[in-house]
Amino acid sequence: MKSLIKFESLKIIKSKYFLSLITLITVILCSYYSYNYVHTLTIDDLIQDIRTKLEMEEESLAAYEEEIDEGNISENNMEVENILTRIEFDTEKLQGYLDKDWERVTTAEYQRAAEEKERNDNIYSWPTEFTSEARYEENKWLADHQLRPVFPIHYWSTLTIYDEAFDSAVIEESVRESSNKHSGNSLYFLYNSYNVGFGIVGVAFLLFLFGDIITKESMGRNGTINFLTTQPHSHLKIITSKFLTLMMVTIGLLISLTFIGIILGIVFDYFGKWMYPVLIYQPELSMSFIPMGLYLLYCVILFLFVVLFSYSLMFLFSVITNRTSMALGLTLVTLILGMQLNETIRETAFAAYYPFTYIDVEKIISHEWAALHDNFELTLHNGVITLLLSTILIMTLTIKLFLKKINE
Amino acid sequence: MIIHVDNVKKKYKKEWVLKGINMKVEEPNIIALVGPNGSGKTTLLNCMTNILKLDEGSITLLDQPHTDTSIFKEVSYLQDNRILYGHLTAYDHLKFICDVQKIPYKKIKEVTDRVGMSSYVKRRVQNFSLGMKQHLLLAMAIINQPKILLMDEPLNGLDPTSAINMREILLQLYEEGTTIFVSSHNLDEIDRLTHNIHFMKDGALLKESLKDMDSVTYSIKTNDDDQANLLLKENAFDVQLQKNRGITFSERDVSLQHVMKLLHDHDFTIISVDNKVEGAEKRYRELFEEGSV
Repeated sequence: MKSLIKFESLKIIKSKYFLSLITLITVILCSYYSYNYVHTLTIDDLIQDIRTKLEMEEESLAAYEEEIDEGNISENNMEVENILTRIEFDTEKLQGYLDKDWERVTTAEYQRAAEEKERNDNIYSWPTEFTSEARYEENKWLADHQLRPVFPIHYWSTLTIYDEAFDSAVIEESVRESSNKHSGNSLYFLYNSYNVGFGIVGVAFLLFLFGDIITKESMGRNGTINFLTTQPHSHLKIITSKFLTLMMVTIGLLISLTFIGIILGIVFDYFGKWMYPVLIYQPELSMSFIPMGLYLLYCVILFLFVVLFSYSLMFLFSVITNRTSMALGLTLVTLILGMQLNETIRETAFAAYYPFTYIDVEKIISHEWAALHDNFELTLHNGVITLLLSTILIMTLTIKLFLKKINE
Repeated sequence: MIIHVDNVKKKYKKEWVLKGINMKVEEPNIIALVGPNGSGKTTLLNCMTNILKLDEGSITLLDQPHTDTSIFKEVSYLQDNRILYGHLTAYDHLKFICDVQKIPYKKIKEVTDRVGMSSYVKRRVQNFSLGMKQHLLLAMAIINQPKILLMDEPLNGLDPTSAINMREILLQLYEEGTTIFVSSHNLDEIDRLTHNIHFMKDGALLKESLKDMDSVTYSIKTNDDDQANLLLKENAFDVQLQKNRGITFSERDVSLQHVMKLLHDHDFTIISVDNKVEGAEKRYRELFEEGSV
C-alpha cells in the first residue's frame, strides 16, 4: 500500500496540470491577501479618524458652550453631556491607540456598549439586542485576554444573522461596508480565507485538481490501469491507495496553503492571536465565543470530511462513466443539487443526517444555520459522522463496481 | 506445472473470442504464439494475467491460480506501451516496481544497462520513440527476474539492432530458467527465437505447431565464400552459395559441426554463423492465407 501511495503521489505531483492549478491557487491566495492587506485599517488610519472626530466634537462643544454663555440653552443640556461622554470615550481610545494599549481600547468599547445597553433600556431596533450583546462580549473577551482587535470595532462593526433586515439598500451597503473586517495578520487572514474557500468553491477546485485520478488510467481500454493490475498487490489496494493518496495530497495542499497564508501575514503584518474570539450562535438567542485557533481547526476538520465525501462521489462517477468530464460534471451537479435540496429541509430533523448540509463549513461551525433554522443538530459532530458514513457507503459501492469493471 | 491453460473460453458481446484454449508447459521453454490480428493472442495473454476475466476454464501459473496477484512476483507481462505514464520517467516506472516487489534499487542500473537504455532512463516517457518504450517495457518485465515472462508483440517498433539485443536477452533469460511466452507477428524474429511456435486462428489454438517438424537452415559467411563453397561441395556437402546470406545448408542434410571443422582445417576465417527455422512462414501462409485450415 505504501509503495502504491508513493507512486500515486508521484503521478499527481509530476503532472503539469496539477502544477498549473497549484500555481493558480497560490496566485489567487496571494491576491486575496493583497486585497485584505489593502483593506486593513491601520493604527495610523484609526488615529487620524479619531482625531478628526475629536476635533468635530470639540467644535460642537465650543458651539454649545457659546450658546450656554449666551443663555440660549441650559447648562444641564443632554446633548452637551453626550458630547462630553463621547470626547472622554474617544480620548481614551486615542490614548490606547497611541500607546498600543489594546486592553484600554477594548475596555473603553465594551464599557460603552454596556452604557448603551443601559441607556436603551432593552429597547432595540437595529442592531438587535443580540448584536449589541455580541459586541459587548466580544470586546470584553478582547479586553480580558489583552488581544489586539481587528478593526473596526465600532458600533456598526458587528453584524449578526439577526441584523439582516435593512430599511434601505443604501443603509445595507453602508452597514456591510463598515462591518467588513479585514486584516493582514496571519490568523485573521486564514479565518477569512477558510470562510470563503471551505465550501463548494474549495470542493470544486479540488475536484478539478484531482478529477482524473481514476479516469486517466483508461480502465477497460488497455490503459495504465493494466500496469497496476499486473503487479503483486490486490486490486482493492489500487483504488484504496488512490483514495488515501488524494486525502494525503489534499491535507498536504491545505497545510502548504495555510503555511503560505501564515508567512504572508508574518512578513507583511503580524501573526495574530489564537485566542481571538469567534462568535458561535447558541439556542434561544444565546451565544458563546471560541478561540479562533479552535474555530480554524473545526473548519479544517469538517472541510476534510466534506472533501472525503465529495471524492467518494467523484470516484463513484469515475468508475461508472470512465470519462473525466462526465465524472466531474456529475459530481458537481450532485453536490449543487444536494445543497439546493438542503435549503428546503434544513429545519427538519433529517437535515442533520443529510451529507450535503455540511458543505458550507462556516455556516455549520458558527451554528449560523442551526440558529437560523432552529435546528441545533446541525453540528460539527453530526457532520463528521454523517459525512463519514455516507463516504463509507458510497466507497463500498464504488469499490464493488471498480472490482467488477477492472476485469471486464 | 509452469503454465496450465485448461479449456479457456472468453466472449465479447456474445461472440466467443477464445474457444477453449488448452496448453501445458512443464519445463522452461520459449513458446511463441503466432496468428493474425483478431485471432485472440492478446486476449489469451490478458486472460492469463487476469486483466480479462475468463468466462469458462481455468489457468494456473507456477501452480497458482492466475487470479492470485501474488504471482506477479514471479510472472511478468510485457504488454502494450499504453500502460506507460507519459509524464513520468522510465526511472519512476522501474522504481515503482522495485518498491512493490521489494527489489533493491541497484537492479535498475543493472537492468537498464542490460537493455541499453541507461542514457534516457531519467527522461519522461512522453518523449520516447516506440523503440525506447519497448526497451522500457522489457526492463520493467525483467527487473524481477521472472520465472514466466509473457510478452505481447515485444518486437514492435524495434530497430534491427534492438531486436537482436532483445532476442539475446530473451535467450539469456531462457538459459537462466525463465519460461517465455511470446506473441508476435514478426515470424522472422520468432523463427530465430524458438522452434516452439503455436498458431492461433479465430480464438482457437491450432493443433499443429512447428515444434519437432522443422529444421534449421544455417548461413555461414567466411573470408572467401566462393572458395569455401567449392571446398564443401568437393567434400559432398549439400550446400548452396547465396548472394546475401553466404553459404547456406539445412541442418537435416549437413552437420554444422562437420562444416565448421572442414572450413577451419582449410584456414578459412568464419565471419558469422546464423540460423533460421525454416517452415514457419511457409506454414503460416498455409494456415492463414490459403485458408487450408
